[in-house]
Amino acid sequence: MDARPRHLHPPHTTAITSSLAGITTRTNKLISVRPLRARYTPEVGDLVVGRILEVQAKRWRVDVGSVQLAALPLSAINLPGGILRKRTETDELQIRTFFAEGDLLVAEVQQLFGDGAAVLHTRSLKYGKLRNGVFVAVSGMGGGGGVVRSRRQVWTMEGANNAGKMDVILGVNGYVWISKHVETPKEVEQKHMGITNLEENVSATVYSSQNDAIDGDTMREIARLRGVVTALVENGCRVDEDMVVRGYQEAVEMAMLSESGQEDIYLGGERGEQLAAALRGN
Amino acid sequence: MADRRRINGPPGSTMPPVFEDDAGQPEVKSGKGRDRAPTAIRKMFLKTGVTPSASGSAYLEFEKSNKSDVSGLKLSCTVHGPRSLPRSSPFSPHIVLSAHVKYAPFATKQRRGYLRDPSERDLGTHLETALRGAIIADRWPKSGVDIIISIIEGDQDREASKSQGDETWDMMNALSGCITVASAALADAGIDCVDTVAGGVAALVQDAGDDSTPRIVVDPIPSEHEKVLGACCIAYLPTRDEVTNLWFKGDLPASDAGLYTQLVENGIQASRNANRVLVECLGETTS
Repeated sequence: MDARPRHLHPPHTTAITSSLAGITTRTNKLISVRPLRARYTPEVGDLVVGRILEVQAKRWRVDVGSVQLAALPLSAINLPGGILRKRTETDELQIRTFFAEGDLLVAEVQQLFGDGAAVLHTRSLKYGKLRNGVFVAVSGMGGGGGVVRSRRQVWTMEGANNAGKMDVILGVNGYVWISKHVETPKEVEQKHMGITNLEENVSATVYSSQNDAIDGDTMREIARLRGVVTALVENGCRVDEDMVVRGYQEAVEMAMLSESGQEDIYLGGERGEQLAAALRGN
Repeated sequence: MADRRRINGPPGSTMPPVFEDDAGQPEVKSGKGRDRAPTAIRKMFLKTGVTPSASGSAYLEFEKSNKSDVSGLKLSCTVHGPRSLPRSSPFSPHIVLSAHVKYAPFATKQRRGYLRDPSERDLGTHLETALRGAIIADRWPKSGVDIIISIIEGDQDREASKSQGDETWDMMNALSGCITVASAALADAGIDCVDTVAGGVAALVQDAGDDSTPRIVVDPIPSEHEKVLGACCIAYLPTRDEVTNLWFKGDLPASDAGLYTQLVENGIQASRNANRVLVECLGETTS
């Protein structure tokens, strides 16, 4: 497209100006522009990270970076005290105790409305409220960068430099969550016993908004991982498990070589480019 | 659907009034009217494989009319499948075909909504019938295929006022294009068909002037004629000599009994011409 701003065009021109920045392709007389960044279009089964914006009588409205807000009905979450419990009026009255405005959550797109708005659900122990970590929003799809749909979008990785394990959730919508690894109820169950115990455990922790204690080493490595993700996006790389894991290893090595050692977590500017170049070279 | 809380602009585009000079310029009529032979269809541009993410896709464009303000038809078709049916659907020994036709909001004079309206559903049903006769459906039991067509630009006279012209005639042309482009996309997706199916339109039109008698033309552009009396859109398989879908609309004068057959024959002829483009396009991709 013509790169000049619109107001520079003479008024009676026949030139076509795109209102969108992107790569143009031309098929005979059809000109199409592939945007450099676009809003997320939900699809059923997508894993998304979202933020509660609004609490209504029977549902929440969630920002998932889409054109419309997604809906999370009260009936689509795991209610405390038994996974498969019917929702009651009491639950409706204390809807804010599950999710309140500003809470972050990971969910799956269950269904789509006719107008493209998504309905989410968190009826699995994999999904639910997010805590103990940091949120990064990377630009969605388009242009080759950003998060792409892949086989695995949630994984746990070892932190370097005495840090504990870290969980990474790459939402398809371009929202990323990096947190300290907390043992899932399944792991707890293996250590202890009893399914009833598990349920109580679930109800106690799942909707808590209190962060656990995080040691300094883990915090530093979470921040480093966040730097890796932003550096990948800034340099137009794909964000998927392979790239993030390799990028993290590279970043740890880069920090070793720098003067301030492992404390150096800066990955912007030139260092980001260096990181991306190293990843592309492999 | 209309947003009643705000004051909305008109749904379609409007034209500022243009006043004639006193000098009384000769009316610009020279461009108006059909300049093709009655049996000639407009030039077409057809290309397959335009959408890499779909299993099959095609793009079809009708040449712009010489009467400058009628834009050409632009269609893009994607085929998804054959893929397994969702769990909830009942067993089917054949492939389940579903065709969706949607006008882009900006495709026509009157702005289209984002949801499919009855006329778009109608097009989808006709398209489905036309294609069902061409696909060898029992090769894929328990599977489905989705055919999605978006009409990027409808061939409409943008300068004509809203009251002029009847949308039904535009729909005929759109359907014939849809059939041709869907057939190309199906072939691109590698779905077995008995033959390539193409669409053709023939119409009985009355030109301006009192003394003109109605005549039959193929691939009509409604605004080039005074009146369209009747039209039919045909989906035709040339090597089998079979018609898979026939859509007829209008009133024919009762005096001539053979008129209906003539109209259908002309429609078939138009479809043959379109098929030639289709076969050539598919030949190019394979070679």
